[in-house]
Amino acid sequence: MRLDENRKIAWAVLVVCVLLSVFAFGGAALGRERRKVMRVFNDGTDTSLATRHSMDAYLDAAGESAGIMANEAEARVGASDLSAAVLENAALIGEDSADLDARFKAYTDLKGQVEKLYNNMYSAVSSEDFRDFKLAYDDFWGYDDMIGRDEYHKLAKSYNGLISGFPGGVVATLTGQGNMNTFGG
Amino acid sequence: MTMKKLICACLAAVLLLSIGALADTYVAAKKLKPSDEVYVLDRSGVLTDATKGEILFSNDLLNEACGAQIAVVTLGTTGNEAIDDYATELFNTWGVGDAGKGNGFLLLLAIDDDDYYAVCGDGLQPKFTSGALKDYFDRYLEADFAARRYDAGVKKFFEAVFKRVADTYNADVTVEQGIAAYKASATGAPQRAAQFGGGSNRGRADDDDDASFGMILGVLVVIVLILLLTRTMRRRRYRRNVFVTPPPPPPPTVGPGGYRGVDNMPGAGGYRGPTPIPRRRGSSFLDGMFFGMLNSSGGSHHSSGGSHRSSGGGGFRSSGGGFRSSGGGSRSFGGGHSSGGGAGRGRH
Repeated sequence: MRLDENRKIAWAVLVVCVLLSVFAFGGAALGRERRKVMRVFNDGTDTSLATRHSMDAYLDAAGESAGIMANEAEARVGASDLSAAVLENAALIGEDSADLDARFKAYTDLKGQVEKLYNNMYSAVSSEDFRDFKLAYDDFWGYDDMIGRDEYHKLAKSYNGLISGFPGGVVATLTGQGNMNTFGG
Repeated sequence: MTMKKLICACLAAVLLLSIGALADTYVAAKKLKPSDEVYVLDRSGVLTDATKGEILFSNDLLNEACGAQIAVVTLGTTGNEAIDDYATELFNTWGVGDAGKGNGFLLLLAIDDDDYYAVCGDGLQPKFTSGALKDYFDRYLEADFAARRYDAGVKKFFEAVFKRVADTYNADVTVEQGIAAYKASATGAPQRAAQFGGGSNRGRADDDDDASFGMILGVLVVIVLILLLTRTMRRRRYRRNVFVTPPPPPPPTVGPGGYRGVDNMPGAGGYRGPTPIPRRRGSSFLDGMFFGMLNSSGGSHHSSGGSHRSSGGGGFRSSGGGFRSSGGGSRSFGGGHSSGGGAGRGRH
């Protein structure tokens, strides 16, 4: 029998081709797309400016502002569970190694905690003592505004759309790639 | 006046009033065009010429020194759009500031909404965080804005922002130099002053051109509708005349020869009476149809001609009404971009 008439070899070649197309082409392509989206998350769409303008940078800055608020609160009214929770979540959202889902959860929790802290401070301290806290508070919400307007959300949604259909969904399942967190966008 | 004409006239009046009412109140951020002076657009008419001159000439110096631009816009309302979205979209549509440096700044006052918002380019964002902007508002704008002294508030705020931007880029320019340049132009070149005096009006007229053109279009549409309706009524009357049945011929009478009865055929040789007019129903129907089609096609030709005129005119007007650089050097925005993160009057 000729080599190209051997059914077993043909089946083996077919299986190899299928595995190659799923993992090497499909899976690799999806992986590339995911990395592109993560690059936008980390570095933004415009890297020509001196300062970083990306989701990661905004989260870092928001965490910093939240940290200032918590420190101000502890200095003026004393330490509390709320200020400790704010400090914890502020550190987590700025952690690059943390999972996106974990960072998003920490960020969502932080927003509520910041508002509670604001209300506590507003009623507890004088306007002079409140000034630095208010500056940090306004900065925090400014970064929240920038997070809300970032390009990342659109790209993450587009990626999620890609892996929800066919054959992207099949390839994603086989290669273990799940949805990307859109950070509320 | 028939009921239909009365209804048409009422509709026309309502249409005119509604177009007129909507014309001046809200323009979407994407459609709002800069004035000829670029840096200041005073749709609400709350700024004096002196303040506008200061903004204009100071910006000329700042732009030349470091590419930064500080635009000031006053308008009535941002409509259903949130002021932060409106301001950010306006900033990015106009491209305030240098594209490479991201050093634009926009102050937006929505007078009827009793609100304001400021947003800066990405390059200036570290200097003008939301907290810093709020602080500037509290110190330089809020008190005057609340007291409706808009001109005073804008002047103070602009001067503070100008100083901060100039310091950021180590630009050796001051607002005083801008004011001096404005005064020099106002006294030495009346034509320039007249141009500037008309600049904000021209800016308003650019937007008003679109609004008044909309009114003219509305009037044309209504006139065409009225004409169509009245022609339909006339056509019906014409058709009624066409289809009127001619009177029946009189019965035959016995002539002078008496009844002859050739071959027992009654009435032969007798007076048969006038030949009845044949009812040309088919041809008159076609005539009516053709005339009707002529009318309707004529009517639609008018309306399509009108819309063609309006779209051509509108397009021309909008491109013509867009930014025109005035004499004495060209001004244009530098293509800057903002990622948001501004601040306004609200809590956040």
